Amino acid sequence: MITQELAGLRNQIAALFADVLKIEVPSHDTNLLATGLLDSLGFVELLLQLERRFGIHVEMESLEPEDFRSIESIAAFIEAGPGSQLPRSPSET
Amino acid sequence: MIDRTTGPRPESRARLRILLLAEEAAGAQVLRMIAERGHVVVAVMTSGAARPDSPSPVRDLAERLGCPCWPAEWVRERGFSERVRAADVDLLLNVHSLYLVPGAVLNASRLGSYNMHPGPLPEYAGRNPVSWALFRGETTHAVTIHRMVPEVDAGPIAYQASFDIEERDSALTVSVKCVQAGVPLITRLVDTAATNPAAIPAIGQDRSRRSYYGRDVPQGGQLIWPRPARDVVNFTRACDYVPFRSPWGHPVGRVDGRQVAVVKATRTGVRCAAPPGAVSDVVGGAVRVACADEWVLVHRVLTDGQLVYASRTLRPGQQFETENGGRE
Repeated sequence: MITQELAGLRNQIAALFADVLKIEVPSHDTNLLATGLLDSLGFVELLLQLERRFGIHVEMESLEPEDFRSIESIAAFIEAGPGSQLPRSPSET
Repeated sequence: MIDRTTGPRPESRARLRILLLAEEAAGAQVLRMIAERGHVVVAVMTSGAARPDSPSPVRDLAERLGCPCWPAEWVRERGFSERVRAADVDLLLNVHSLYLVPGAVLNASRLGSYNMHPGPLPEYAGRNPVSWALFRGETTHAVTIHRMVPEVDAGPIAYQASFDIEERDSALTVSVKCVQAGVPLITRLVDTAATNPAAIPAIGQDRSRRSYYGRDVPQGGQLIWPRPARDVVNFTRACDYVPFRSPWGHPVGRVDGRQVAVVKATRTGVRCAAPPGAVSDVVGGAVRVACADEWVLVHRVLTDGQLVYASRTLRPGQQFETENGGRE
């Protein structure tokens, strides 16, 4: 079950994709990378927008592709907040 | 339609008929620019046109704009140049298309065919220019708009914009810089073609400076630890398109008989006297590995198909093999 905040966050990210990145994402769980909806240019623009709108700074050295797999995972990444990029324990990685 | 004998009057803006071969967001940006300027898009040729079930930002935008969408493969078909001539194409533009355009097609448009190449022609012609530039430790790079001729990336240069490569740049970020610098140049080309096509620069390439790269991956894709740290890190940066697929894969080494591909690594500036390839201490999720002159910090590795923090799979005291491709 997702919280109202998380649902709102997903909608904000979906709007970012549609209005700023000009990418129509069929659903919140669509795989953005595997489907090719998000390419290199769109990805870097996404990182800039996430930093601008949500204060999320992504270190390239610790970038986790799974965090950007879908609108759902991006929302979860943002909700996890600062520290979410710290190395995970071996069991999590 | 442009007057075919005299061309447009200076200062007047012709409505061009443009055939666009395009892929990816860069191609979509150029399509949007052409449409905003009111030119006629004869067709958009993109790989997504033949695969309606696969995502394609160029095809989707073309459909929204009401532009005809043709499969990119058609460009190679016999007789396609006649189709281009019949369509009265003024300008053919190639933005990140995957197909080589045959000579007969290149000559079928009135004002010529132009390509956006992510490299500083005449240097870095051919495949993967961004990766080669990073591998070779370049600190500047450029994107070039050139007229296409049958020889790959050899035609006269119309416009070029250069930019710095920063220490933190990867192949991904340099590729994006190429697009960010290249799309305004394509816009300039279209505007000049629409107002005074004779003013499109055509600077012949200096053949003595030409360098051409093919499909090969440097060093056979092997990391060579007995080289300077700069070289080791540059190779990983050259392959770093994370989270996207790298055309070169990632440089590999072997530890205890197991293949480990290094995906992200940075220099430390700390000199070392340990044998090249020696794995030292753990720093957060990274490990330090010895090169010829200094330690490098290996952050992420690919092992057994999984992208993991280096400390998960590499332990202090282990040694990357430096034979069978590991030695210079």
